[in-house]
Amino acid sequence: MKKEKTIKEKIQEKISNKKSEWLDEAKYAEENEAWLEKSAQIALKILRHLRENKISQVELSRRLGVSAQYVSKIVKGRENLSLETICKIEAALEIVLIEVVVYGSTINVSSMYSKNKRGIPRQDARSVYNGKMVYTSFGKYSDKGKKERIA
Amino acid sequence: MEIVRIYEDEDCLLAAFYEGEEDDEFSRLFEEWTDIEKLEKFFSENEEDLQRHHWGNITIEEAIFAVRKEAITLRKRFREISEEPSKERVESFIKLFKPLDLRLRNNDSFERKKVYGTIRRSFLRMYALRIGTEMYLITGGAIKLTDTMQERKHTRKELDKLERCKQYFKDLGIIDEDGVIDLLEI
Repeated sequence: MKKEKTIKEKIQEKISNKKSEWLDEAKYAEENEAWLEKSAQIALKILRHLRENKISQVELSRRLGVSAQYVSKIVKGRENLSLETICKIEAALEIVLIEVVVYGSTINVSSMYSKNKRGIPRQDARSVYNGKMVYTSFGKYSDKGKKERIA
Repeated sequence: MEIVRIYEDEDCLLAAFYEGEEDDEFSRLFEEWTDIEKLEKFFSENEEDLQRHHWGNITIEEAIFAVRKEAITLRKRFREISEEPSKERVESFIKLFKPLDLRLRNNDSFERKKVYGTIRRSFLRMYALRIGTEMYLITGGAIKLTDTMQERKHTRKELDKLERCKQYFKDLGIIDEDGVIDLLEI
């Protein structure tokens, strides 16, 4: 017993005053778990697209008009991305990163803002709701393409 | 090399802080195991190992999220242990830290230990030296894809780190060249 105490004391003398950040980081990660999960999924989708298409992070930063350091932060999967940033990345890489469920259907967020000259959302903004094609705006199309207005 | 406490005022869980590193080993592991860019690079470089029968038909994407999920669960477990009373904490660590090599299992101080991740076929390993019965020094960790640590450079490096930490205690005179605690200390 006494032997162990001596060893312990010797080691205690050698413990640095430097504070490990681990516990604070662990608490932060737990409190922000939900959006960090989504950020990680987005990061992976971006990284796999970059690798498959041989696009460098520097090239992506150029397309986005941001610094390479910012892109580096995004692909770590710890950045709380705004919808604006997500839409810019989707446009820069021509991929879909997130979709939103609206009235039981799934839509691509960036295409919510993509409309043709008549103000109708483009093809990729359409989705299926109750077996029918619908648009993300409040105009609705049947599966035969006949427009009906939602009351 | 320096030694830092993980649980603020408690000495039960320590970590090596190697020269030239930005973080202590314990923090570094959780940082790396949840960094999507690092994980994507690691699995892309080690894709062949991932195709071993042991891992099933797992894709790189699935492996990345499996590691991340394991790391999050392990981090929660260590955080929960930080809130346990001292006696319970010792028991929790005994359950968590397994001998590194079952064939060389012994009760010596400075025994090499490992912590597995949280799933049956776990990717994660955390390596440590047990000091006495109540202290653990985290020396490093790795994503282990092969049967033995000797098979890959990144896991061989972890064996070196275990030895480096043991040497640190030898240099301090806490253990002798054979790894035996000096009986004159009694």
